[in-house]
Amino acid sequence: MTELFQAIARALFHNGFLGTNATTWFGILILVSTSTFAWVTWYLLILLRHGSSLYAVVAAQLLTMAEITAALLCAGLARVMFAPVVGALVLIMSAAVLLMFVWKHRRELRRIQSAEWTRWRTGGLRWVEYVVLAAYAAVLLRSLALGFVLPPREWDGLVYHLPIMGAFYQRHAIEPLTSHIVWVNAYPFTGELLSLWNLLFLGVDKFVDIASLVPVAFGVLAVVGLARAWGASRQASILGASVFAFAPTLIHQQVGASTDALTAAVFSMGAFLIVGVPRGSNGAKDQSTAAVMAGVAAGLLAGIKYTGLLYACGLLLVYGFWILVASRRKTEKEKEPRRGVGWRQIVLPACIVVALSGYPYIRNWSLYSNPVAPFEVRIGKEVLFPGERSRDQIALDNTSAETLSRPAWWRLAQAWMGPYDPIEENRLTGMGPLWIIVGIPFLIAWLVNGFRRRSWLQLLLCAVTVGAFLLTPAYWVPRYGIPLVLLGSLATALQLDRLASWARSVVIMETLVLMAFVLFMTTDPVGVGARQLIDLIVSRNDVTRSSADFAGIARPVFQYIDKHTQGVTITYSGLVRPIYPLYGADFRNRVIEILTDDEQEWNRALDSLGVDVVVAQESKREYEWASRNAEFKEIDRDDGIVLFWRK
Amino acid sequence: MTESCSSGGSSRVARQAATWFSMLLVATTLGLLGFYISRPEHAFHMTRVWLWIKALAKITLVPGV
Repeated sequence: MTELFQAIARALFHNGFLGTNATTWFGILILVSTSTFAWVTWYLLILLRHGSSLYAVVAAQLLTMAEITAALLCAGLARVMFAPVVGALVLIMSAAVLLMFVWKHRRELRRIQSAEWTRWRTGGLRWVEYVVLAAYAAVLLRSLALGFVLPPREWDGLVYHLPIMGAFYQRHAIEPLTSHIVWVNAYPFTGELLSLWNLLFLGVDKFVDIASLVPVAFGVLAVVGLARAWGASRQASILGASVFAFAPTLIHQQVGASTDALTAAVFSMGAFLIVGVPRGSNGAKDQSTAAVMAGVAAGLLAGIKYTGLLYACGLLLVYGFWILVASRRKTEKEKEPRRGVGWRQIVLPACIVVALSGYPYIRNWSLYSNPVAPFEVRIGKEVLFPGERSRDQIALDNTSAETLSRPAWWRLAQAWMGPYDPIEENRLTGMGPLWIIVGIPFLIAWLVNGFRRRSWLQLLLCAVTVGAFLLTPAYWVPRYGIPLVLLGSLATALQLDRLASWARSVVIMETLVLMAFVLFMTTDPVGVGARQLIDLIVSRNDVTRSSADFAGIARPVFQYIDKHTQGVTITYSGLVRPIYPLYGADFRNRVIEILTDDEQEWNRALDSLGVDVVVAQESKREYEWASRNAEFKEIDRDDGIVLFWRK
Repeated sequence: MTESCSSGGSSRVARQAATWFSMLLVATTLGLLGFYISRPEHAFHMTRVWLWIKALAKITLVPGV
């Protein structure tokens, strides 16, 4: 027993505390306190304006994300993206909001907060709600713990999401990138900026892959809010939200740099903050708040990924419909009908969208004559923007030829119903049993009822989500379908109250059992052995917990670089993927690209830029050039990736 | 009198509709649940996860393993 306690003590107190030294703990403190200060400021402002704490909680998260993105964009474009500058920008913006709009109303705020607290305390949760909340808390803790001890390890993250972040971080600037990997050069990067925020104060990549964790949790809360706004009971809303919260791909993506879960979460927050906007003092829905929320959510979505652009357009359509209805509705206090939509309701969201997400699209347009490079954009046979990759090619990248030869409905059914076939990327086909067993039947029932009751706004939300989903290339890949689960989730919440009580009990039991099933099946972090996990917890520190150990190809080469470099300059050839491990967990190595067709020019660049290490794929010309260069010698090779070191 | 009869009639229809609706939805969800859990792949993966948890517990709780 004593041995066990000694082992636990050793695991806790090695290399500082939990493998994290005092400097990094201080960075974590700065990160958490700055983010919390920004969030609390927005929360108080929205609470003061609308008095609804659930709305204020979700709105504060969306606005905080927008504030962080805006601060990083400003500092990055001004080429001063240093931690103190970005931190000061966020603090100044939040302090200004606090002092100008909140501070003078502090007494009223205390009254509202106290009333909200009393309402929550006296509301009382039932055991079912406690079970769902406890299970979701377990999911969040699991993700936080894994994010703490595991280095970034997911393929897309190591190939392009995190290299974008690394390049901006090392240059202290947001500027056009020139990589062999086209996604690094052209991809929109709001998700990467949120990862960068988690890196800036720490200096190590400890939390860069859990940038989605907090937004996803608030996205789940937004599902509850949206269901409540459309009249569902609290219990039904919480149970419905569990269909979304316990989708396995959503659980897995809470730890990872992929942005599908983040997109779905922002979409969910945006929908709630538009539809659920509380009434103002005149009894009418507050259109200005809805306009800001629509702009912020659409701006974040369009900046996260290209398909986010589809969801952003969908959200703006929902906002447009909502504002048209709201602007014509007369409240009890108003004698005259309203005059319709004001210019502010259109210009305001448009400006916010452009400010938050315009840069990558304008950059692509000016560099590649195509705002969504490398995608080709065509309407019918007319090519609007030429690009290297068509929609069909993307489908080919993601799916086997055999699967592709089947009809679309079969691919969808296979992805949803076949639990572990090759089409899925995460366990339980990604969208999980709750989606199949509870979400889909309730979604069909919801649609039927929606038409019967003429719930046009609800139907429009369904239509834009399904439309954006179907326009997504390779839409049968489960992680692209997370926003659909949002619909299943809402449908469950809204239909559950319509069931007879015995039927309701059956569905509740099904939901709880499947929730437990998902919780169990997602326990092990995919691709990490038990012994490896223990080693990462008890023996490694934040620098030696390296993503090189999880490089999908040529792992020995990346591990060698990780162990033997201390502030070197590395260049790489085409077809070297992933490139993120080259940086090192503390970004000690400078990673650069040399793009030229000329061998002599390439050799001159190696000398002038002080390149110490070349990583080349053996089918690429850089491999031949490095082999012929007398200054470099081959050190290691694996999977066709060859490592050269300056002699 | 007429009004109360009509209201009673419509509430009976509504109750019947809710019962049918409930039965249909519950039958569908139970059918899908049966279909889903009958897939043999689950047993394999549940075993895999269970072995992973056991290995983790063993390494953690038994010093020196």
